[in-house]
Amino acid sequence: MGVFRWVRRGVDGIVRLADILTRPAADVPNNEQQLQARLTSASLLIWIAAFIAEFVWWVMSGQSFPLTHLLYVMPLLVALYFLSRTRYFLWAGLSSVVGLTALPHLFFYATWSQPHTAITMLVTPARYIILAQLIWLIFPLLLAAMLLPTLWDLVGILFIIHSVWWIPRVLHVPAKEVALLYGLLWGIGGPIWLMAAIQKRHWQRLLSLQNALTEQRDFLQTVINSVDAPFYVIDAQTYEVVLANHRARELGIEQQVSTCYALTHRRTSPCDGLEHPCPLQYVKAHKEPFTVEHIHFTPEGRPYYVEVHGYPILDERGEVRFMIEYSLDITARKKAEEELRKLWRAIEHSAHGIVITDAQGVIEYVNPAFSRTTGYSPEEAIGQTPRLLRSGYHDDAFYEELWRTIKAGQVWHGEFINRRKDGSLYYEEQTIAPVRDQDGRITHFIAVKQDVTERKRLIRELKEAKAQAEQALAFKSALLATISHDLRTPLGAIVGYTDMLQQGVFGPLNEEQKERLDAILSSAHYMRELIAMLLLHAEMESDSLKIERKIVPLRKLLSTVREGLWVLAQKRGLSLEVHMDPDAPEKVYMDPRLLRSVITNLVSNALKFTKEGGVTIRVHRVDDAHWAVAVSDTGVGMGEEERRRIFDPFYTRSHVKMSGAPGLGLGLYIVRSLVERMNGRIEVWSEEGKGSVFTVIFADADTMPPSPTAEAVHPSSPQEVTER
Amino acid sequence: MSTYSALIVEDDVFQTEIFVKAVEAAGFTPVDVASDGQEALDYLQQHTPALVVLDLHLPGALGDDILAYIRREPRLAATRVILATGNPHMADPLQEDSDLVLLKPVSFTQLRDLAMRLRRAIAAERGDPCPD
Repeated sequence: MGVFRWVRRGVDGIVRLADILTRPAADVPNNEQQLQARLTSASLLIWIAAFIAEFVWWVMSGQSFPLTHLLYVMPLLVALYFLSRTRYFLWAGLSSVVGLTALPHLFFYATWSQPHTAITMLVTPARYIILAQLIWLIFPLLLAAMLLPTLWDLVGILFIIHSVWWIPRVLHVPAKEVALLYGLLWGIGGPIWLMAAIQKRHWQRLLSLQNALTEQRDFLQTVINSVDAPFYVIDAQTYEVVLANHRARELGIEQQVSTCYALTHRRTSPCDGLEHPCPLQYVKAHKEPFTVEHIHFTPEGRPYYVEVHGYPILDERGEVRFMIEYSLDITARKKAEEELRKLWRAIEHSAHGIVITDAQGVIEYVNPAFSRTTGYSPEEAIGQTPRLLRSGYHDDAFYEELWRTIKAGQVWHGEFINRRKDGSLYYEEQTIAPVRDQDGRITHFIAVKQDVTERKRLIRELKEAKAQAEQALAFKSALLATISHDLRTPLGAIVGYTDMLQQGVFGPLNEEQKERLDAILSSAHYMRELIAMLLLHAEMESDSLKIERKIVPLRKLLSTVREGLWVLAQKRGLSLEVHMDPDAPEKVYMDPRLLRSVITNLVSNALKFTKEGGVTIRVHRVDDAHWAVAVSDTGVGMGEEERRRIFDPFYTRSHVKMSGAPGLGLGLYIVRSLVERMNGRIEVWSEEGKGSVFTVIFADADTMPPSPTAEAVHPSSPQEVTER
Repeated sequence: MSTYSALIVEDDVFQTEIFVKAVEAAGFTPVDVASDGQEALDYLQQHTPALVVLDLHLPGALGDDILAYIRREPRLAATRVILATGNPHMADPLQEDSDLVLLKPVSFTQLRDLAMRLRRAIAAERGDPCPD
């Protein structure tokens, strides 16, 4: 047994060595050519071995061998050997056959040098060798001729013909002997040839079977690759993916072996307790196809919705051996469903009533808001037409116009008076729009309705209130106009005639008469002020006070103020002076009416509380950014308490009696309001018995014209002006 | 010596008298009266007064229409205008087009003194000797 094992090992070793030595390069295309390359390599190896054996034998027998010959031939043979292992193996085979045929003495020098006849060749060792060489040479050529069609057949036949002609001449043996030699060769070569032919057919059949299998496999792979969704076959026992298409591989099959749970769930162990039933477990248990919606995970770990189909493949015992699984990405569908659900919820919970009818106007859907408004449940409304709600308040033309509009594909918007189920009427605002299919045909109408009964009531009330307010406003304006004109006109007569009487236009008066006329005039002037103040107050209260700014020459404005009041001052024996500091602004950008009212009020107030001396209006700078108008008097002055309350509305001063005219208590309140409207501020200095100073302060920034006009800011002529 | 005629445009009779007397006292004569806007316009189409005292709040035509007419008419270029108004809102915008704006109530003395000042100015323009 030991010997047998050693022999087998030896054979195995030789076979393995032969396999290594004859293995063709990877780029030799197919099995058949690989086989041919191997044969060519093997032939060349045998040849090299024979050549070396001859050399060894020659040297051992003590004869001289030209070394140059060895160096010349050996590299050539080795090169041909290496060539035979590439895809150019045919050239190696062809070159060796041609070389050997043309120059046999070069390759078999030793044998060639012996005296030889065909017969002696058979009996002497040297001739055995050359015969063996020839057999070895011819054998692979024959083999090649069998394996390679046409060309090599031709080469082999040519070689044999040539040999029959050539060998007798070169070896100097009769042709008969050569033929005998060939007979001998064919005796050995024939069976080998036969075996090779059988072997070749067998190989060819194997090759075609293999090709068919490969084709079928490729076809199946192409088929499953064409399925544009992950498609794979899972081993029911091991959970391994044994077959997968391109899309499944994209999911992340990197190694040869992958499991279904690693592939689609990124897990390292079989799925268990997931919210979705595992299709494999179901299919294994029930042995029937199964479809389930699932969440799978991309290689990046992003979840996506899939619809998984599992189909069992049963073995001969009826057990589930494999499962075919394919999964469809239904994320888009899921999203669409989610959108639809959202829209549905929106419609269901809408505060507006929503009605969907078919193209003929038959109600197909109403939402809860509709039921709440009308009292009709969906069951009662569906199948009816919106006529259900008709109140009889609209004529046929109204409905015809509505239908004409929406049937023309336009949106109708309008108001209805409709009737509820309980018979009550309500106002409804509706927008009705056609719904079209892909071809543009109108398939439905959708109406969005809103009960506007309450809103209409509110609008009506609001309109009434507005009309009342407008009426009130108009009345107020009329009243103001009346006050400003109709009250002033008779006052004109009073003032005018009193003045004329005093001036002696109607004859001389006595002292008593003159004094009474003074009283009339004083009261009339006071009334004029009252009117002016009432107007301003009314304007401010009604927010209708408009500030109209323009460039105002301060000097002229102050003159006008003085003009209006100096008669009064004169009557009271008081001086009234206007004084402008050299650095005071000549022109300001303000509302002249408001500024004049402020100063006039302050001056007339000052005159009222001054017995002797006078009142001075002075314009001066406060600092780099502010200027002021100060109205100072030499009057009675005020105490601390009085000074604090002086700007309160309806506050009247304690010394009021001395002026002979009662105060309304609004003057200074209005003055301060006006000053604040003009972004200014007012300050008071006063000392009882010495007089008061009211200072109104404005910022240059607030009184500068919109475009920089140099003369409006800086006084053009810094001269001192005093008017008497 | 040339004449200093005046026109008083005023609808209130008392006021009219006061205005007439004041203007006369200032040396204007003859002094004519129009009690509404239309009358005033008719008068102005035929006469060329040296002074017009105009109440802005008039029945018939608005005071500012009359003012616009005076300012438009070249014949009335030398005519001086004193406006009397009860509405302080109207006073300011019209200040530029008139020689004087008086806020009602207007006192006799005030109008007389102002009219006198205007008469002196007119006299100076005409080259008349100073009336006073």
